[in-house]
Amino acid sequence: MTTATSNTFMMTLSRHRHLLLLFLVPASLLVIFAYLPMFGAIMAFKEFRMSEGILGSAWSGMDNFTKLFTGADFLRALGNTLWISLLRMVTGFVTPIVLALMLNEVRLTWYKRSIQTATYLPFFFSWVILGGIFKIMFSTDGSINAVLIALGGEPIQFMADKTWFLVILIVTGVWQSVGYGAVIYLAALAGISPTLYEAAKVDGAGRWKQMLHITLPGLIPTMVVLMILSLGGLLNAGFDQIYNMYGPMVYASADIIDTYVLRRLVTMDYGLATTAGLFKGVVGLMLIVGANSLANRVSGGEQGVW
Amino acid sequence: MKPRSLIYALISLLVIAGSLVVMSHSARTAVLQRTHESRISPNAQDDPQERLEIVWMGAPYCPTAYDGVWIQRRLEQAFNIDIKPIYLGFGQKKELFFSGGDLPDMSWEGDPISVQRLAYHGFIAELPYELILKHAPDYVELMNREAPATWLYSYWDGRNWGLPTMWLDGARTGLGAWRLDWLKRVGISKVPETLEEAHTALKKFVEDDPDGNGKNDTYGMMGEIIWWRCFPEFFGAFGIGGFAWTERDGKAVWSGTLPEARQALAVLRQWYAEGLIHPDFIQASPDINVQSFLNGRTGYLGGACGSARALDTGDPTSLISKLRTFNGPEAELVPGPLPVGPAGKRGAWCWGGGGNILVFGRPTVQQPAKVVRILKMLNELVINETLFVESKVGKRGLHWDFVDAGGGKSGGIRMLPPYDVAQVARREAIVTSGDLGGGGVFSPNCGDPAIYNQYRAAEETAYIEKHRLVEYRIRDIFMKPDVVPSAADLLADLRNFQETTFARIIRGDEELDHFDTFVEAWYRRGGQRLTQEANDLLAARNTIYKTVGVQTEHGL
Repeated sequence: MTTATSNTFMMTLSRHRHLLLLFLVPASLLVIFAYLPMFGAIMAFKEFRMSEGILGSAWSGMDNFTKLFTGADFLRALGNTLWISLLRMVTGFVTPIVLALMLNEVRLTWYKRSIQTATYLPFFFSWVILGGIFKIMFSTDGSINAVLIALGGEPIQFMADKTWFLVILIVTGVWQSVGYGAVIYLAALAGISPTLYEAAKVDGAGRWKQMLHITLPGLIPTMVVLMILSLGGLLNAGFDQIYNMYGPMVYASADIIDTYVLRRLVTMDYGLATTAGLFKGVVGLMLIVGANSLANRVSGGEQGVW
Repeated sequence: MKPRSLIYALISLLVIAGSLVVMSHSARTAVLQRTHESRISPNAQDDPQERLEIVWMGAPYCPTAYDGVWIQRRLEQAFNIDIKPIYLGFGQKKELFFSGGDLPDMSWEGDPISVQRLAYHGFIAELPYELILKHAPDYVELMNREAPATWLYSYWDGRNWGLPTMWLDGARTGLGAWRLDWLKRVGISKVPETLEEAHTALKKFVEDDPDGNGKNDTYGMMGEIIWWRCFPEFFGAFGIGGFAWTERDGKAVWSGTLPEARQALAVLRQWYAEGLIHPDFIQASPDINVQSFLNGRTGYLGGACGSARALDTGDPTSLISKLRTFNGPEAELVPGPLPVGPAGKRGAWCWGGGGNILVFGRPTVQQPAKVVRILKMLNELVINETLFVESKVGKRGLHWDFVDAGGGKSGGIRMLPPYDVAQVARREAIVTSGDLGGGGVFSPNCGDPAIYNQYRAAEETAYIEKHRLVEYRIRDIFMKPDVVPSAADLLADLRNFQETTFARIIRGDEELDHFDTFVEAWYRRGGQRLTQEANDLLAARNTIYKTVGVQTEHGL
């Protein structure tokens, strides 16, 4: 490094010292809570005993991985996780966009706000409560079947049928999270310049054409970013929800990696928990990197997150 | 900033982070290494004159209690100790205490599996049987007599890691409840006592409109498929529990794989096909089961009538009161005896009398007098009636009094205001289960039934002795099936598998012959290994019994 460039660097530093100081707080949070614990990942390769500490515990090679992957139900759990997660991703990706677009077209402010609040509200409810409510709602004597019977239909055993269970899982999952997703898109919509719409109107474009040619393209960057980030969670199929809603009849189709690990994690098996976390993290990272480079390639370097 | 500078910055961050981890780690390791020896000396003694400080992490029943409650002070004075209590609630992360190096002298553990893990991680001390026998002989005698298999709760890797507690009420069977008004309305005058009679009654509940609303909208019962509530009285009618280790010809076998399980399934399957069992039994939720009974959809509820309190119309929270709220004042309940099966067998799986486990932090190896004092204290609480009662519910006249002041104990006890409110009583670490046999923070063992039964209302004792018969209990030979070492890896998966299979067979999704496929798959998917371990444990159990002096296998 030459003196000249070094000086420039120091000058840049000094010019932005206030910003750098401000940055110190979030940076240290990130270091303490995200990077420091990462060293614990070596527990995945150790026969971890607390009294011997992380470094003192004996190395166990790939034993934890063998234990995780060779359980009788692991492949089934992995398959279920991918399948449920994909379904969630597709539905959870499209519905907030549709809701945001629809809200965007509403002109009555009080109506728009009420809908927004109503759809956002379930996001704050815990699945422990929601799971209990849905179990009762979808039971044989529950309100859904009461409506079916009143309409002259036959009661359905929703929780005993794996297809119905999946449908309920996805629909209630979307119901719970759609409002939150829509808020992000509404923010993006607010960022689209009104002059574009005015110009389109002058050119004779109706509401539909405006949405197709201005609103949607304006949302694409947000969509791509959210899609890429959501891929990182592909192996998270929604533990809270599934654990609180599943039962013996659907164990086989609703058992996901998290519930599988939980059964082995009766107490303090940190090695195995780390192994599962590492596995999910590595797969998630690969997907994010892959999706990002794909987005970059397709868009000529314009749409990737980095 | 240039990319290269960014990389340097990141690398230095990582290095700092790494060294911090190493430093904090070495500090903690040092704490534990000081107490490298893991076994408390079997010859340990205490000096009764020496006042000892004991860090006590009791049962997680009273998270709101404070340091210095009356019961704590009473025990401190009686045993010349200073108790430093740590009050936790269920689900609060004990591990955080442990991993931070804060090892209490005594800690309450709910299940054998957590004892095994604590021992594995090196947090707790090995407690030799000799020491227990020497300092807590009456305690040992009670456990040997009433619930000997409880010894296995603290056994791991060939050694003993704590002192199990007892919960002897769990050694009696549960009891079902029939809708008496329904029985009368369908023309049945005798409460069903056999499987056949139960079948007839349940069938009439479905077909004869027992609620008289002119609609075909009732079921016989619901039941649950979750393992520890899975139709215990109906598997019991064939002499087994559905999900338990049992002994056949001196060998341990899993009851769910036996021909009796298949016979019980055949009955339940037939009942389901006839519409007697509410389809939501698969929801495996006690709430839904109870609610369908309270709503007047079903006429039999398993395990609901274990106490005379269930039939107390004066108590607004009792089963009968709730039933009448939903169904009007004419609704009536009657306890349902365990049904006798075709071969004359009768019984129901129950927890068996074992409670939980008290373990001792590794540093007590250096201060064994503390452990000796705790053992002496627990022993005294088994034989000293006054102290036992005070350790559970506090001081007479301040916290509680006899219901019938003239009649003494036999009328039972009642809490005095404000301690009759559970939240207030819990702040004082008082046992709120309404029964002295329940566990407490400072008095975790149930004590001797010969003592605590005297403090129960005579009618409640009479009810229990009439209806919940000890001879019909079916206990797991290890009490809790997950004492086998590989339980954490295998048992939960196999249980799920069994619940699903049993539900599918009962519902008719699978033929009854599918049971044979299940048995074969159960062994293949890890059952073989579990069974081997169960048999090893059975051999170990017999050795432990010899060591601690279990005379008979009464009730096993």
